[in-house]
Amino acid sequence: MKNMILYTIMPQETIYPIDQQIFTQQKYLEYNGVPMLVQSVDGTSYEISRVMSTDPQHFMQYQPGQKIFVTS
Amino acid sequence: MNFLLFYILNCMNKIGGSNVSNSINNQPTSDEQTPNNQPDSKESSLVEKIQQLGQTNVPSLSESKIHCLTIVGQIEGHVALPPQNKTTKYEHLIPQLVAIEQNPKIEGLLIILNTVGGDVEAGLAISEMIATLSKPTVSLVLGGGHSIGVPIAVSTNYSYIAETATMTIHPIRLTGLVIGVPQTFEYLDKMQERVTKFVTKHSKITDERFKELMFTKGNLTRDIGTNVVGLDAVKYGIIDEVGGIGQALAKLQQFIDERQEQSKNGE
Repeated sequence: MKNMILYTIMPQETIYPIDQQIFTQQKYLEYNGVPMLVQSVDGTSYEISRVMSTDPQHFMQYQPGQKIFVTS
Repeated sequence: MNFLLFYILNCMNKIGGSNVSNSINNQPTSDEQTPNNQPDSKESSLVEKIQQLGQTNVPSLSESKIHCLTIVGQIEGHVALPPQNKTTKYEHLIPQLVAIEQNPKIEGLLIILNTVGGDVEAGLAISEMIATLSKPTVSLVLGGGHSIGVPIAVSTNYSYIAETATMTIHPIRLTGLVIGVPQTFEYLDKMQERVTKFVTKHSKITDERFKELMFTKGNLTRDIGTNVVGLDAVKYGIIDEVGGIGQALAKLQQFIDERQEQSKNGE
């Protein structure tokens, strides 16, 4: 019974409720003028999930997975 | 029985949940070696750069004249999808497009598509924004530009598709819902017409041809529509040319030069 395949046309989130906490861990911010989506690690540091800029040079500076420190 | 099903669902949810957090933890950043409470942030960023890139200095140009907009995953519209979905949010793209239009330093825009489609209204909003941009635009479909990705791909001045990339053309529908009344059909038909009009206006494909592809049977599993691969997309007139990043950037540069020439002559 451990492995069960569920065939359904329903969207995944309709069947498996979403943990609302995931939403609170992520946030959008601007770091050194680069807009990005970050994942909270602890109070002051964040891990970059996605760089949201259209400037290709920004992608040379910041990569997903990189840690940034925000003091506020 | 109900209880058992609920239990199974719950278990699977837990498994799914832990997978998500695992994949986040498994990202290749060995931050354990970096002291977290480092007061000197300059030094720690140096250490991080070496860890991530194997070098201290990243080659940097000043500011790029050509900006790049990537449209990946699902095109998210009025409903926020949970974070495990990779989405392109139109409320993020639209201000970026406004900024690109306003910034005099940006001369051209390259649009890279690898999307499964998504919200029709959001997709059309992005398409219209790109189509009305005064700066030269070139699109490149890599992997897939399905469904509502088609109008976005054709909205630019010139479009490219990778040889292996595909585009699925299918009618608009409401997944999992039953259309019950004629008014709903009328509404969807109008919505469909908007997409068809946009695509035929911005590409060389004819209305009849596009609809024919849309309603073809036997190409998609238990669905109507057509999966158009690279060269076929060019053959049908949806996309201008088969190519890659080199051709796309060369074309964009050509448009930028032409535009500069025109503004010189105009003065």
